[in-house]
Amino acid sequence: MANKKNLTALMPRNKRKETIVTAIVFAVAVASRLLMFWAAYMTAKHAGMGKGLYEYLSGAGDVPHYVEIASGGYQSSGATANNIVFFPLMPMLMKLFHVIFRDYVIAGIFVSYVSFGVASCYFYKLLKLDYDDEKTAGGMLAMFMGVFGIFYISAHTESLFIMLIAMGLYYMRKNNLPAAGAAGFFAALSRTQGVLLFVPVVYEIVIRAVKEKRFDIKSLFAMLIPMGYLAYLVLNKAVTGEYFKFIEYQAAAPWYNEATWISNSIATSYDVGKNNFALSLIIYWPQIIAFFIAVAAIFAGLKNRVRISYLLFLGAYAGVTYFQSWMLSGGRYITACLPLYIVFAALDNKYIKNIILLTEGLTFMVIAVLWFRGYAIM
Amino acid sequence: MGNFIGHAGGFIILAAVIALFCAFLLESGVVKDRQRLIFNGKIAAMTAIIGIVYYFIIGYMVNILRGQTNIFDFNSIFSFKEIPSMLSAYEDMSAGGGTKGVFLPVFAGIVHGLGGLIFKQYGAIAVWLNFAAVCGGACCLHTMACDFFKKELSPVMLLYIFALPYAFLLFTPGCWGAAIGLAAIASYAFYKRKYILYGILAVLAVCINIYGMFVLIAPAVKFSGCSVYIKDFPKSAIANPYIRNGLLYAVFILSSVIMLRVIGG
Repeated sequence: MANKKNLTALMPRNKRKETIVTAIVFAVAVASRLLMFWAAYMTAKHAGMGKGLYEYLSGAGDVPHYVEIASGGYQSSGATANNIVFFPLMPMLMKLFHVIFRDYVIAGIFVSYVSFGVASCYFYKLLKLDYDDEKTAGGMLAMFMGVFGIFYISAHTESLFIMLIAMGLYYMRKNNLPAAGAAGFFAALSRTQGVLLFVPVVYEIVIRAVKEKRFDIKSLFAMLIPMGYLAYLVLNKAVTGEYFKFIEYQAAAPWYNEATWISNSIATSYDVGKNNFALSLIIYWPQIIAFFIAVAAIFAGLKNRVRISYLLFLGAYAGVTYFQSWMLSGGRYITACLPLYIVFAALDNKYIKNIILLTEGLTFMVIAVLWFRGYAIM
Repeated sequence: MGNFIGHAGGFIILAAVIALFCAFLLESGVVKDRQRLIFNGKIAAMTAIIGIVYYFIIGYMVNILRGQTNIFDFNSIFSFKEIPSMLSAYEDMSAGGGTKGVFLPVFAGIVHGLGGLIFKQYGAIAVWLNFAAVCGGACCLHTMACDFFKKELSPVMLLYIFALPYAFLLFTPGCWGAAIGLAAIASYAFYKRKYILYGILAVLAVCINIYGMFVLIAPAVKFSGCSVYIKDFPKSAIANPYIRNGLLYAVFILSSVIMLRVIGG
């Protein structure tokens, strides 16, 4: 029988080791973003990038909308009334850190970098629950080189979202349902797909209840996740007078986005891309391919015995993401789907993994450089 | 081509949902035999692939014989027999011309109801339901065949069924696949002595389409005493591989001729 005193003496050292490893993962994650940012920026600058860096980061994609919301709040009328389609968590954090940085864009970039670092730490801990060091390192590398990963370094919601998803999945695995519920609450406030964290959490609760033949009262904390989405609907009601006003704005200019079946969404991507070769290469074909990669990952995950709750989140995420009639950011959304990288980590074939990493890395650099050069990477 | 890729996406994510559901059944302990579930999954996947191959074959034949479209335009398959009127029936719940009177509205009602939930994808839902019923029926027939005959002969038996003339209609948005697939599942329920389930599925199969009457074969075989002869099949001529493969070849040729006549007009 093990000596109890020796075990106690061991535990603090393991905790210290875990803290040091987590700090290293955080530092490597942030450094990787800075390195990729620098490489892509220098490549674009060498090719004659027109705008200044700050000017470019301020005007890229949805950043101006987040700045408008952070500085002036949601408006019930006027030109910025349709900002209600953007979820409130990122602008709230930008406003919070504006106190320190006195600049919303810088605050947003700070939130992105810190969120990515924390996301990496939780993702590392999540992978370590099931896989050895080699597979964990492979999964981390695949996440770092996500094809549309350039969005992790600007004031977009990607980093924040994956941080909250990583936290939610990790606490779900640790059966810490209050923490998982809280992470899901905030994830649901960061993006539409955040509420989908409810699916794997409920699945794990059901499986545990069936196996243990009892219902844990702490399972009720899972209801925090849909509460986050409900909070967003209440925000719509408070600002515009209607709970689902954001749907009306999404269907109007400039997004023209309504809910539709996946096949229509993909068919539209193909048909629109057919008439515009340049856009088809950077928007439409990437999102068509991303969908099939996501679904193929489900089957690969089943074959490689990846945890079913992760695959359920992957399937729900891919499905809900492509319920859009006029999608422009499918590639970016799929890049932020963490279970993809868990499936990658689970693969055994080293040759396939290396080919995937090589393709991913090269594609990431191309996308990053084009993004800096002002191409319509959305 | 866009339509083809889009529907391929819809089909494949549905397959993923079904696969995840089966994984849930295993993990929760509802289904305990993992190997059997995987084997049935392979039979279902094989059946689904046969259906998809039929779509390509027919698209190819339409392209050659009628010259109207490219081979990826599977809408060419939706122009056969009563399918166009059936598609109208799914969408607006009308009786539809040329349908089987009382039989179609049941299936049309199911498709219309599901279409209300899934973005009015009536044609796609009809195809999925037919695929699901045919795949389920194939798994049931295969299991029964393994029990009746030698295990090696049962995949051949499935090949015979899918090589038959007009078998491609099982995978179209018409209701034949749903009716015959349900009939096969009901027959399996009868074989397993689950008579209440048999009764429910039999009624549903017959209500969907007249070909659901195949469901009466199982009790007919049992009460007529023919089952003894079926168990002796391995000892008969069908056990001879030359005769068996020759018959299969003849069935393929016959089916091809009939398909050419139907598609060529």
